[in-house]
Order: sequence, then structure tokens, then C-alpha cells
Amino acid sequence: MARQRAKVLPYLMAGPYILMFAIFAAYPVGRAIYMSLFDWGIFGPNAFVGVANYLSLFGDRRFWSSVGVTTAFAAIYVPMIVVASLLIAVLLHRRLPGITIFRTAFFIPIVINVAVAAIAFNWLLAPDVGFVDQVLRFFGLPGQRMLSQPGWALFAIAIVALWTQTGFMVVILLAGLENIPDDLYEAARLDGTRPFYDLIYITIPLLRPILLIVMVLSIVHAFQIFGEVFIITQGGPYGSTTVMTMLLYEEGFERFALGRAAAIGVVITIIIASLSFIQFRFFRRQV
Amino acid sequence: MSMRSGLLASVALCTGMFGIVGTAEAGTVEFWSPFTGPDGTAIDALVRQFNETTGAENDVSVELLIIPWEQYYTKLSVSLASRTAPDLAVMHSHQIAGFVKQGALEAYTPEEIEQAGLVEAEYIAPLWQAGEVEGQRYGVPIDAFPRHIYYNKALFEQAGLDPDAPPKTGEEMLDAARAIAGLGQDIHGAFLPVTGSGATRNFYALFWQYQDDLYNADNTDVAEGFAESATKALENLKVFLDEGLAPAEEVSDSNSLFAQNKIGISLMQITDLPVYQTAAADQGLEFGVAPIPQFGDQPATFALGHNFIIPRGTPPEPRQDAMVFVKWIGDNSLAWTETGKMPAKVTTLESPEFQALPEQQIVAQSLEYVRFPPPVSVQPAIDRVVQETVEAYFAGQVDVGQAVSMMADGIRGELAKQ
Repeated sequence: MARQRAKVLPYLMAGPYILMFAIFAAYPVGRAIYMSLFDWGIFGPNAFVGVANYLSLFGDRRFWSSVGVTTAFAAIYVPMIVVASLLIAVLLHRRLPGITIFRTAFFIPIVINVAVAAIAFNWLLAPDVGFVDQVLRFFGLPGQRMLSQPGWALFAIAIVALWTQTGFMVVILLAGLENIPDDLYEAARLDGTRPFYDLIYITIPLLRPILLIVMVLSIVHAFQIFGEVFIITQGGPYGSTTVMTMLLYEEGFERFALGRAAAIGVVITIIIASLSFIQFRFFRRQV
Repeated sequence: MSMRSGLLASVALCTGMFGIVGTAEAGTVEFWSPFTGPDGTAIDALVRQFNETTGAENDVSVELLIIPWEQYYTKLSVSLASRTAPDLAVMHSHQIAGFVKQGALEAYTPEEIEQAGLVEAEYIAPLWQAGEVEGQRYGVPIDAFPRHIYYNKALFEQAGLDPDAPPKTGEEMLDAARAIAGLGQDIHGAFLPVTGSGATRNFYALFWQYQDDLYNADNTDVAEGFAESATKALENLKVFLDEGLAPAEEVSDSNSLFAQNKIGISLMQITDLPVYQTAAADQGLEFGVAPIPQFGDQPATFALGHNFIIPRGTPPEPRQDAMVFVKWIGDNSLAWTETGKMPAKVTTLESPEFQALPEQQIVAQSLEYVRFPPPVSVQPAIDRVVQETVEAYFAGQVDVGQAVSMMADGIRGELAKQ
């Protein structure tokens, strides 16, 4: 009896998670794959079209443009957040009086809803009337038009995402830093190294597993970015911030081509899964 | 109370609640509209008036729900998908074909049109036609809002121009803008939106002055001559930016700038009228309106209109009741036109009350040649393509040849998705 209970117990413990995973992850993914094979409108499937939705996407200039914009966003955002969160984590990993206040301060943005953050940045960066322009005008400088210029608009979105997500990455990195023995830094100090070399030769090499996780999470976030784009630029100016999720929204909720929208979702999933696999496969060895 | 009886009581309560929420009372028409601000106040007043008069006489009560237009179509489509759509709703003319393709709208039958007393001849022809898709009627027009110009009479006088002679041609508008811009003091000769739907609509307005059709006969490609007409339309708008006569960058509130006598001529639409009227009353703004100047070979301007549509699944009884309201609004739309709209009915247009509205009756001249976007299901997506291209051209990211080529390719791509 006791043996049987010991056998069943792990499944019971895992049960709630498996149930939640099945309802909120496995089913939606399966449903999206299923929908992507149909011409699916407001009222459900109209006709089975096989891979026609995918073929139509691959022949669509806007789709490739959105892939390019998303990749460009990832190229801006991922290095920024990895470097910024590493530097902040190293600075916060000190036993100084009041350091927890700073740690909390950096973590706070993560609990702020993305819509609130995006609206706040929209106000800050609004041309002419935004806070940033008012400050610039106070110093006699011309106003910025970050949100109305293609490259800058994408950069502005990256800044908002950086602000909201850095705190979470810092917490992960701080946990990794806690596991690096102090002896290594003391030995380096005895050898006469400078703090910068501590970072290069001790901290970064030993943090590689955690940095890998931070990179994977950042790439996943970069390919899923939506709220910031939807609220701040709606994909503009002239499509320069139309990331793949924005195109998915347009196809699904403006054009009601839910089959095509599901196909975009499946492509995003495949891209994210492939990039994560590649990173784990090739960088884990070095780690 | 045992657990079982408690559960039964809860179920009964829930069933009762859903009964109240889900089933409308007899004679009740649930009506959704995207109108807010002065439009929202006006439609609310009209609904109240209907409920107290004709509605009460016919045992029909309209329940109005206002959903801001930014969320309107998303909520309407979700309500359609979940079979909780209203009995009657408002829809922009260019959206109708897309919803029809989804099977989301009920066609008005000729019998119910006749029974409700709606007579085609009483409606302004292009507005009535804008509610048709493939020979079936899905929309009954409420109004139209064409593009036209507002001009600043005080700046006209300062620049030595006749404030009672607004420009009638593209050349005249350019000359007037040059004269007004010459006043200096950060005064812009003209304002043309360089982003958003305003930029797109101005492009269409000028395009149709050069040729009638955007697409070929079977809506599979752009029309013959598209490139030439699109080039002329784009260049005629861009010259205002290139000469520094109009702001080349997005202006957050052009109407305020106009009210501060910083803009001479504004190429906008009649729905902006209440803002100008308020500025005239509060700030002493002296403004006039005129039809859009003729840049091309023929007079034409862009317009959209609001339509009454019947969502799929509306039961026969509320549908019949809704027709009473649809007819009544058509007959009592003067108050609606006062909020900056053109009436849908000839009878309203010709009424002495409408003729006494100084700005509306001038803009109404353009109803003779007003054009609506073609009724193709992908029109909103095509509008997005045109918008992105026009914005890129105005921002100097592409030259006119690239812009026209991008636009034609994009339109072809969208037409292929029909």
C-alpha cells in the first residue's frame, strides 16, 4: 500500500501542473496548428486549405518585412538587456548598507503592467508635448521625433522592453552571482588583478549557464513583443515596427483571417524553439 | 442548506441572471455605435427622442451601447463569433464588404426595405450605393463625411487674399498657401496630414480627380493608368511639403494650430467642423469651408459614410423593430448633420433647415462627385498599404516612383487575398 502510494504521489503532485499545461499551453498550440490548416473566419473554419496559409505567408512581402523587423528588434534588444542586466547585477552584488533598496528599485518595473509602461513612455516621448521634448525645449534644443522615425521608433520600443524586463534578468543573474565562491575573487586580489579582470575572467565564465538562460529568455521575449508596439506605434511609422506579432494581430483581428494569423503564430513558435535549441545545443558545451 | 440544494440554488440564480441579461424584452433593439464626443451626445439624444416618440407609438425601444471606435470592430467581431452581437450596429462603408465576406452580416431583403418605407430615390445615390456588395444590400446609409478644405479668413486677409474666394484649383491653393506662408511668424500656408488615415484619404481624393477606378474590372489588379494618376496625386500633395508651405512632420493638434491662426488652409473632413465652430465661438476664429480644390482633370473627393447594418443572427422581431428606428433616423437626421456630417437623404439635403447650415451646405456641393472606396473585402488592408506608402513618401524615405511601385505591388498582394 505504502509502495503504491509512493508510486502515485509524484503524479498527483505533478497533476495540477500537467492539467494547467495541457489547458493553457498544449491545447492552444495544438489548436493553433489545427487552425493554421484552414481558411478560418469569424464563425470558424470555412475550408481545409492544407499548407496554403503558410505558402501565402511566404509569398507575402509584409510577412518578410515583419520577420526582418522582429529580427532587427531582437538584434537591438537582446545585447542591450544582457549587458545592462549583467552590469546592474554585478553592481548590486555588493554587501553595502541599503543595497536591498536598490535591488527592489530595479525589480519594481517588472510588476508594472506592460500597457501602463507603454502608455507612460508614449507620454514621455510624444513629439512636441511629451516630457522629453519639453526638457529639450527648456535647454533650447530641438524636439526629438523618436516615434516618427523608423530606426528610432524600434529603438524606443526596445528601451521600453528593457525598462520593464531588466529587473527580472537582474534577479536571475544575482542568484547566479551568489553561487560564485568569494575565494576566487580573494585569490585574484592576492594575485594583484583589477576588478575589471574579475568580471572578464571570473564572473562571466562562471555565470555562463545563467547568461545562457538570460539570452534565451530575452530572445523569446523579443520574438513575442507585442503590447509595447501595439500601444506606442501600432506598427508605424510606415510599417517599420510591424513585428510578427503585430502582423498576427492585424491578420486575426482586423482582417479576421484567423487561419493565416494562426500560421504566423506557428512560425513564431518554430523560430523561438529553433533559436532556443541552437543556443542550448551549441553553447551548453562551452558552458 | 445541503451542498446539493445550495448548488441547485446557485444554478437557478445564474440561470435567472442570464435570462435577464441574455433575453431582451419584447420590442427592444440592442444598438451599438462607435460615436463618442459630440457625436455620442447627438446619437444618444436621437435615441432618446425616438424612444419617447415613434418608438413609444410602435412599442419599440432602442438600447444604445457606445463603444469607442478604436475598439469597436474588434468587439463587434468578438460578439459575432460568440453569438452575442447586437440587433443593429453602425459600420463604416469601407468595412462592409469585409464583414460580408465573413458571412457576418444579414442582407436587407427588398421586402423589408419596402415595408420599412425606405425608398432608394430618397437617398443620395453614391451613399445608397456604398451599402451594396455584389448586388445585395447590407448597409442603409446614415451619413457621409467627405474631404474638403477649411480656410482661415483672417490669414487670407492678412496675406492680401479675398476671404470670400477660397481656392478652387490646385494652382490656386498653392498660390494661396505661398502667400500665407509669406507672412512668416511660424504661419503655415497649408496643412495636409502626413500620417494616418488623413494622409491616405487625401491621396485617394486627388487620385480620383485623375481617374475613376482604383482597381481593374474584376478587382484583381490596379486599374490601367494607376501609376500615372497615383504619381500626380502624390506629387501634388508633396509639393506643399517640399516648398515648406505645410508641416512636413506629424502635427499633434492641427486644429488648435488653425484656431491660433497658424494655418491658412487645412485639407481635412467635415467631421472636424464642431472643433472649428467651437474655436470660432470661444476664440473668435474666422474660418470658411469649401469643396476640395480641383488638382486633376475632374472634380472628385473621398468620403466614407456610416451605415446601419444587421449582424448575423439578429432574430426576426428585433430586426423588424430595428427597421422602424432605421427609417426614423433617416427622416430625422438634421440634428446629426449639425455635428459635422452630410445627410444620407435628399429630403434632408434639400430642407430649408439644412440649407441654413452655412458650412454643411457648402460641403454638400461635393456630394455630386463624391467617391467611396470600392466594396472589396480587403479594402481596410489596402488602406493600410496605401497609408504606409504615402507616409514613407511624405517622410522622404522613398521617391515617387518607388512609392507608386510599392503601392501597386501591395494592392495586388491584398487583392490576391480576397
